[in-house]
Amino acid sequence: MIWVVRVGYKNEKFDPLGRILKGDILDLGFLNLKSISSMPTYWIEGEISKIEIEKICKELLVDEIIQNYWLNEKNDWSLGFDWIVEVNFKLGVTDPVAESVKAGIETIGIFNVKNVKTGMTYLLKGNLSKNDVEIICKKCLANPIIHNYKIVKVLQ
Amino acid sequence: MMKVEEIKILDANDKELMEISQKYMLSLSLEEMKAIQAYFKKKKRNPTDVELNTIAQTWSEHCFHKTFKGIIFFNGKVINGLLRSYIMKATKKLNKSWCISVFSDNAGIIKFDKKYSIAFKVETHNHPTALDPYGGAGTGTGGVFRDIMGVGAKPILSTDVLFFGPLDYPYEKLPKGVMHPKRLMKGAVAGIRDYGNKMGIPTVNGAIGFDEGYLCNPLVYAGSIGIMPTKKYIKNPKPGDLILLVGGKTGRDGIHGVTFASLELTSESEQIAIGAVQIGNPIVEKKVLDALIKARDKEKKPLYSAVTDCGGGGLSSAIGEMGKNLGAIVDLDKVPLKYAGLAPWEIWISESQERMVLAIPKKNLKKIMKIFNDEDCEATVIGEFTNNHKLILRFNGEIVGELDMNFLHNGIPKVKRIAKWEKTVYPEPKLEEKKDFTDDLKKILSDPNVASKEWVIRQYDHEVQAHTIIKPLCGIGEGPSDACVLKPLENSWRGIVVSNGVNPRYSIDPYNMALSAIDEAIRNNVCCGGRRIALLDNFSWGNPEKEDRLGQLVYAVKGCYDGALGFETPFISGKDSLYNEYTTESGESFSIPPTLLISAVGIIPDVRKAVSMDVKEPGNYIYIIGETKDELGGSYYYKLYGSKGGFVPTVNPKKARNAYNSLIKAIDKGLVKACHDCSEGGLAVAAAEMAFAGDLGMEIQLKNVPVINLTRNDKILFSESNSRILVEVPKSKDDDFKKIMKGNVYAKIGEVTKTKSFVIYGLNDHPAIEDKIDSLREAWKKPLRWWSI
Repeated sequence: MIWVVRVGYKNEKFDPLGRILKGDILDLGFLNLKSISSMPTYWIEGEISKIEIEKICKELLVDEIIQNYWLNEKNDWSLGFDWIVEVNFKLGVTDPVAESVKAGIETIGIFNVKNVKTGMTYLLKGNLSKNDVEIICKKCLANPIIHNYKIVKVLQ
Repeated sequence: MMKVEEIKILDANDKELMEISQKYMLSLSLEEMKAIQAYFKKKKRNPTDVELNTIAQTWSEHCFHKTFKGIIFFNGKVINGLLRSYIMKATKKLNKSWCISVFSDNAGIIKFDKKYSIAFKVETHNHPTALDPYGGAGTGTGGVFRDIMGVGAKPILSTDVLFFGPLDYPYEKLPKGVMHPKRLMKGAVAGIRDYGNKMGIPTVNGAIGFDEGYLCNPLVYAGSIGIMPTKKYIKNPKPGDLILLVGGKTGRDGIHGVTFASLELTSESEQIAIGAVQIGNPIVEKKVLDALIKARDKEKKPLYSAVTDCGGGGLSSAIGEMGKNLGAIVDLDKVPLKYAGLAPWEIWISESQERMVLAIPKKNLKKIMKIFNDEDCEATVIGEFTNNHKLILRFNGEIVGELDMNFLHNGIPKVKRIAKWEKTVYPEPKLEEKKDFTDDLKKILSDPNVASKEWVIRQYDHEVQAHTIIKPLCGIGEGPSDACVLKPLENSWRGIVVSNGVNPRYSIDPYNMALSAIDEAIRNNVCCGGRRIALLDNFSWGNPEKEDRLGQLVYAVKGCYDGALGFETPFISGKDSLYNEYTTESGESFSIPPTLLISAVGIIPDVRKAVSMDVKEPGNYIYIIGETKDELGGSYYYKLYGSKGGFVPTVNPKKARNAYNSLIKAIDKGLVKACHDCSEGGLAVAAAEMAFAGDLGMEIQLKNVPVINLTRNDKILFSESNSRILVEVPKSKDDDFKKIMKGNVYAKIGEVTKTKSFVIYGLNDHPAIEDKIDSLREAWKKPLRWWSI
């Protein structure tokens, strides 16, 4: 199975990437943007139990002092936001962080990981159209030459 | 089994030959295609795709430097190779005994002390950065580290010079497919930061410039210096040596990156260039470095007989170059892949990062494999060097390519190009004589080109390895350092001084631009105490197939020649990146401003004598060395009033050299407390930077400044005449300083004060500039603060 791990910040001020991106998006002229949060995201494939994935999160991927994490089944992380943007590398683009994560998982004694992918989930809040988000993606959040991106409207 | 395609060129006519060149993205000209056709006619067979790609890579502008080696018709004269006729010729004429390897290996190598040598290389990575700034700039840095590792040295510092479009460029005016300069800068800086910091190599020197000319073609120059024991330098592969590929796995990364670099960018580049993008993995490269140093030092002699970087052109270039005088046989199926499905030609020319190629004597294979295993670094034997002067490529035992080394390396027809350029003399602006220039000074300090680059510098680790003596920011006021000083050896005070000079604003006169860049690089070096200086040239230019672009290049190269001889500073390495042009949808083509980066590396016998640029003590005198002239062409003062001006600063190398030699003597005797060069913004900016860096005031009298035909305050304040240095000398050392400087043009022009006020008195003794140093510092720091970017 594939576990999707999303890592979020407990407080906006721990999210410098989000802050920088907010400035960039406002620069683009999308003044309706209220906030943007960045969530490092990992797709971990293999025969891994819930206990094991939690161990991976706690020992490797998440700094629990400033971060929370969510596994696939939970989706309350998008509450209060309007748009979700998921960005990851296109097939064949080198993903060095994924290689390090895979090696790291082995060092904590879990050996049945088949594949790891990394990426980002962005949460946007504000009165933006799908087209607005599309432009924001192309200009700020993803580089279409190397990234796939997916835009999802949050249903309230 | 992957298919190898036979490409039918034997009976192709001119039109078909060009279609083949385009279809397979070979970037070969008709003449070159014809030479290939003739070769295979002799062999009585068609080439395979592997062979054709190998030739295209080896003959590309990026690998072979066709323009610099070609024949140029210029003003009725024939230049047979710019590189050989000028740049290398200067080095040859100077014939310095401390040059160990110049223009032949991955990096230029010069002696450091009796036992050690240093290797220096600067690369460009412009095109990949335009497509993906993070990956492009990062792999540029990673690539130049491998160049240093490719001569067997350990990288100890990294330099980065970047050029972008204006940061406040309106989004709606951006051409299609072009990233905003802000995004490019943030991405490029992050890429360089992540590669250098993660490999533990300090990024200590650099520059950032902004101009509309770089909007579509940003420039990234990544440089690195390494150190090694001189006697460990070896490049002697022998027949029978095994070819060992180490480091990263091979994927489709950067396929056709090299031939891509020889093309202009268009608004379609975004769509077609996917393969040319690369992402770096510094962790893998660090493992390669550690293993390589072990292989070098484990026994008395290195365990390898040669090592080289697998960079532009991939295995094709690395093995082709190493086996040039031997011959090689390679099994492409043995190359470890990132994913299945690569065709043999893709494996052969892929530019996947973090790979290096070693030649290993068979008896050392076991030992070397153990070292790479211990470092958890992949190493695979993929072939063997032979003595039949043939390059043979196999896939699963079947021969998929066979080429004569001689044809591959010498078969390329010399390109013939015409160069023609005439100087446009822009009118000198008529500016009114004002009384007060404080606002002008502040505006120049706030020009993004002059302003503090703290936001960038703070992201780079410039302290790691713990040998940085003079850092990018000096004094409690954090002023801009002229050069960086490093102390690379634990048990020696001897240091390396690294600086650069670049001024594309002077490209209205490329000859003097080159001389100015050389003078700037050298005087920056001298300011910190550097001597015995060696230079590197890096040309980023427009399309050399256009006469005017090439004409400018010829003038700049001539400037390099005269500068190198005049200052007695040999060129030891260089690189060119041409075709930096952008074609709009309507078919118009724009070139970048011709940009010549000169990097300088000097030696300081005792780093404890190195001088920084911040003033140290109230009461000390301020001297100026050199003459101030009416040559404000391309200056920031004229830019302020929307003008270019006709005459850019010139250089008198002999006079400058004498003055620099005297200054070095004064520095060695400890007579100098601070030194700063006058460049962008001239005397006023240099003096202000010294004052606010030291958090002290300064008073300067313009009437004491040595000038030639200048009677206006503004021109003395802001002229960017070369070869001028401001020097802080304690009163007690005044007489000694004068004695040493005798025979040079120099003058006492002011004093350091404790008032925290910065005052420059004009020719009439009234203040022409007066402000608090805090206010000047704020003007300088504000524009590029991270929250304003």
